Amino acid sequence: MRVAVELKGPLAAGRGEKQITLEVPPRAIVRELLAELGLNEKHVGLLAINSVKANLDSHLGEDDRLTVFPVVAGG
Amino acid sequence: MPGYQGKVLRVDLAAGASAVEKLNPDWADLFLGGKGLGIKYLYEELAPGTGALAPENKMVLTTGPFTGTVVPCSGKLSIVTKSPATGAILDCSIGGTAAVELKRAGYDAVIIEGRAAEPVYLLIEDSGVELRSAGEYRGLGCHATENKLKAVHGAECSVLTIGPAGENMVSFACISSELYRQAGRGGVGAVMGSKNLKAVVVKGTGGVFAADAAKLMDVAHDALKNDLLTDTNLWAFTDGTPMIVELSQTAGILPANNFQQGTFDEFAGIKSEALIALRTAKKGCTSCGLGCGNFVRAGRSAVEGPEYETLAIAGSNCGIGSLDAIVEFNRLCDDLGLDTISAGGVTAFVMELTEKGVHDFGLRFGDVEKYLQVPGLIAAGEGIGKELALGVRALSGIYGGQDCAMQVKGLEFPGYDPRGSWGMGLAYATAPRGACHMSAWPAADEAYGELDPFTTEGKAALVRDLQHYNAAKFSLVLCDFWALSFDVMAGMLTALLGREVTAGELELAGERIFNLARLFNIREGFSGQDDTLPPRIYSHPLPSGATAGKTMPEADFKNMLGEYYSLRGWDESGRPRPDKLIALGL
Repeated sequence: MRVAVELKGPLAAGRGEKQITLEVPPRAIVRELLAELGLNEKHVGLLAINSVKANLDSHLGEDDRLTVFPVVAGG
Repeated sequence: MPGYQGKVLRVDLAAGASAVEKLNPDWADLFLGGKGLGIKYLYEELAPGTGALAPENKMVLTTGPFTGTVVPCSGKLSIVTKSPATGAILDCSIGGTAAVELKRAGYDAVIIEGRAAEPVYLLIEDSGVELRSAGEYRGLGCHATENKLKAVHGAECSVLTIGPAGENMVSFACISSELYRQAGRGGVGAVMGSKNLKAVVVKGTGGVFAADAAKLMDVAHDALKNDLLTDTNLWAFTDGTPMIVELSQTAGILPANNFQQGTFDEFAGIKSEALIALRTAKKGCTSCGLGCGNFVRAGRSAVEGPEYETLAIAGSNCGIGSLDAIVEFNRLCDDLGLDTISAGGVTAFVMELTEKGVHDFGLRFGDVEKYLQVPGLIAAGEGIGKELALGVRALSGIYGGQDCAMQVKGLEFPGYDPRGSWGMGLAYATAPRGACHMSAWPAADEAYGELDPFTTEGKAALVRDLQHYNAAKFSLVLCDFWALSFDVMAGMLTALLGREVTAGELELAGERIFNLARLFNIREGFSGQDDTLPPRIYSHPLPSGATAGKTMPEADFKNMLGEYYSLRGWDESGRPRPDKLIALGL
């Protein structure tokens, strides 16, 4: 199934695109998708699916939009 | 004395004189520098009950051992004084260039005392120290003042200045530098104004001695490459703090309409992508490796900014979704010398009072035209500005609305709703200077992280640990945006000082500094009763998004606070117990 991924901040570096469309197996888990994309979990902060807070173990559905924020410090 | 200059400049504005004294090496060991050293001076030298705007109040500018060295992200200056807004200890941090110039001029700190008979500015050029007449700068904004002083003393000097807001002693007047950087909160600019001190101009050409310069270079370079410039911290370069707008919106903690909501329908117009589209350049402080500053041109205005706090508290919190308008509000505040957080907070408060029919201030949420008049009115003390200048707590005392007076100890809330980040509520309630997001920032772990935001479990320990971490970090002086460990800090300090410093020692110093700030406040009459949050947090559920239906019930808050006191070795009224003080060497 198709999902859209938006990578925020430095996570998008070197990819050309901030928005990526991927084909993934049904019920794919966020953790697996991030590994596919070569992202280090320790750099990943907030996750959202269709703007709703999610986590590494969340399942994705058809045409879902995953947003991947970096960790942030300070304020 | 490696790392430190061993010298402190004491300026007596009344006598128009200054003298150099030795830095107490024990104080350097125990309190490190920066925030800790400033608090120590205030604790030792300021008599309890001293008026914050009285000549007897002192303002201490402090650097840390890392300042002026090859250690990256070490270019910030601490400013410590007693706050006119709260009566509590106040520590601020300002970026730019001043800290490094001061350290290179040969000083670890400057203590400013008394009140000048006429407006003056302090000029420090290496060992040359003078007080010069500031008559011709009186009434000028921070921008004109800085530009003129640089024209006189050279573009390479650093300028700290107040604007008319500080001169008029507005309770949330700030100190500006490099045009767009501030020591923002608590009225630190009003203290400077009360002393008739318009500006400080600093230029330094010396260096800083390291016990093992080659080792320090190695350790610092390794830290720069392998710790600082990684995807842990580079959000600051790619986006800067505006990244936090969408984080807060997603987590349901983005303040809207005086904290009546935790989401803002127009957030997309103020998130980092919207800013980056208008960005013309980046900026960093001396020694910075991240360059968090964004130069933005919007409409007819340009600023370095706006930072998240401004976009939230002076943007969505006022119902303002126009980036052009927020940029202009930001520019006005920077020039007039006003804290954008408190200016936004008081604006939102009177917007709610107006809309609810409590009192008509003529301001409503989302009214861009009236909103843009506010900074000028506050700075000049004209129209509604005269009352807004008093701040949220004082205004709620006059007009009512304590329920929705979003402040702690007299300092207005920063941009995170505690109902969606319960640890943040504890942080606001227990930070020494009032509702502060710099003392501890658990939002990163709760609202934007993996911890459950809607529980007290583990939050007391988390907030305590973060407070120690920031206290130590802001005393060594390292920037907030470098998420380095105590171990990395200790490694760099060891090479600089030429003696073994451990992570444990630094964490203990952080605890010592935090407790000293608490002792200062207790001596001024503060107690556990002041560690409290506005009723809105306890009883009004948020209406939308990830925090729909959420409050932080008062019973839960009180449990968390009780656990926090206990973990800290404090009694039930929040006083450090004698055995804790002995253990900390206080």
